[in-house]
Amino acid sequence: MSGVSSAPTAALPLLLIVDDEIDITDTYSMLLELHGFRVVTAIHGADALAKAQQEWPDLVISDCMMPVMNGLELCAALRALPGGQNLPVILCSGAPERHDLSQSSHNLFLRKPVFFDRLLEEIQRLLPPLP
Amino acid sequence: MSDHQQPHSSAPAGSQRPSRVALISTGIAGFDEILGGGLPAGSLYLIQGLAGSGKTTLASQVGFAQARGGSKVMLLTLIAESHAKMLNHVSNFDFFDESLVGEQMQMLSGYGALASEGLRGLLRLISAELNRHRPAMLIIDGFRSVRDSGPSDLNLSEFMHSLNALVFAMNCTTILLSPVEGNMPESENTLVDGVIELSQHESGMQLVREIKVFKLRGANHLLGKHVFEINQSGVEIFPRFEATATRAGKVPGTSDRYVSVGIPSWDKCIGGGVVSGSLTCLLGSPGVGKTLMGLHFIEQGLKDDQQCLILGFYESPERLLAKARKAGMPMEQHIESGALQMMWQLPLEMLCDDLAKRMLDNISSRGVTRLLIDGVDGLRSIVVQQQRVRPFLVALTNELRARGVTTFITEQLPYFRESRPQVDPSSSQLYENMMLLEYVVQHDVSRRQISVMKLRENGYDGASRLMNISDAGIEIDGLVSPSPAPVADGR
Repeated sequence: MSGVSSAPTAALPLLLIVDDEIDITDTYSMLLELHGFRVVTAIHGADALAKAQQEWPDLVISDCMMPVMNGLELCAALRALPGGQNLPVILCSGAPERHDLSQSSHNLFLRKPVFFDRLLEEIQRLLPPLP
Repeated sequence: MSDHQQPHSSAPAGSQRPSRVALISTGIAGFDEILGGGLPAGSLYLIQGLAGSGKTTLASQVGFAQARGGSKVMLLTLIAESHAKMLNHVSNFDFFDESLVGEQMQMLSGYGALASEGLRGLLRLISAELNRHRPAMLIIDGFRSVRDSGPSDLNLSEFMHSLNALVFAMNCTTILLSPVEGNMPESENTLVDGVIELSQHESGMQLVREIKVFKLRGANHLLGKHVFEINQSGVEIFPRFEATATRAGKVPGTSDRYVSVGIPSWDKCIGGGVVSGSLTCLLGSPGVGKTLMGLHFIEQGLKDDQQCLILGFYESPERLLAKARKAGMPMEQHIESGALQMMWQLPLEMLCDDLAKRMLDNISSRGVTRLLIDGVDGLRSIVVQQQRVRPFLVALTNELRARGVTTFITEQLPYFRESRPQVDPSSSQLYENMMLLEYVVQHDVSRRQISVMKLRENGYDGASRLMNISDAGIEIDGLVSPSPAPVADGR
């Protein structure tokens, strides 16, 4: 990570991780920071929306089933914001059958459990290239 | 943004339910069996047990087996003990392989991070090292130090949640070792996917090591305790025989074929012999000829080109061979040819599950069809936990029956008739056939007699018959005169 750590912090891609299970956001944060990302976490969709408006993320990873605002609602709300159409969104759930994913505009769905290697690979694939 | 423009089906890409969790083989004899096939991969386990219970040996053995198979293993210690000292402790076992240490098996200490930065620092260290080395297995020794570092219950609980999520995300099977006993309602026990306890059971001056799986998510483990040994090869676990038999649920078949017991005059009295695959108890006074009758049974099998096995506890193989030879049944050539094997050991400090396994392995590998167990009390006495005696024998006899092994089992009655205990009526349920061998006084002479107490699927009379022993072995004579007075003892 030496090359990454020397880069200015603001130049690092910002990931927004949304899950009501704090151990999951905590784990992904620690691991993704080791790979040179900045990470902001939120505990539900409304929290995530507020944080996204404070600092626009480069990619969002969100659980589906959450209190207050679920992942699908978050995805739709983000798309409605300026620049939201181009924001990569990864949705995750252990029970996708419970959601009508056909109407959602997320970029990728991953069934939980999601192993870190797979998640990292998809993040790197979906992130817009650095200018 | 390409993916979301594609139409989503009801089963979107990546939503397929993953196949069942892979089970990791521990590489330890018997361990996978009690775990229900192995350790579900990527989960967090606690192996607990007081000092000297064998935790470090067990975990190291699992770790070396993984490393030998090509997986990376990380051993993280949270105690002040040096790695060199720990390695030294396990270096005497056969599983230890120095060439794996350093490459396949990384050794790190987390004690500094825990002492200086607390649980958060330790978690960061573990994250960084898992990310750097990508081990398939992590073993954390001295995990009690996490609690000893003095966190609040909430902090400890958060740490356990995070550790569980971390090792799961990294698909790293993780084993925590802690020197405690009991399934306590603490986060170290409740927030892991499996709890395994090692303990010791004392019976008189004898001490037996025991292992118990309290819980194991995602696996169909065997409930209850099992015994294990630590020897040169490391840990060897013997699944409780009756537990494995219950799970296997073998139902014995039936046979209408009769096999000779090797004494023609006795075959004639009992309708041609005993049913193939049945169990026969030869119950009798000391020295009355039970073992000799069993040797006749074995000799008949050898004559019929069957593979035979004798399991003995008291009379050594040499004495048994001499006894058979004296009765006109030389068996030495069958020992040499391998048609007859004898398993002999004193019924002292040995594990009944180990003996049962070795006996059944012998039966399987050689295709044994005739078995003589000389001294069922020897078998009973090696079952350390007395409440196990009956279930163990039920399981063993059922297994022999299911395998179609025709078996003779000798059981000794006390010397003095008056001191004989009440017969446990359930013991007869173990056997299809029971034959009673006793001494009887006839015309002022002490004679041997034999009678049938029970003979399943066969016609018999309950008459007592005289039994003569000569250089030609056993021969059944006529009926015993009416109202003989059985003698208390032998001649």
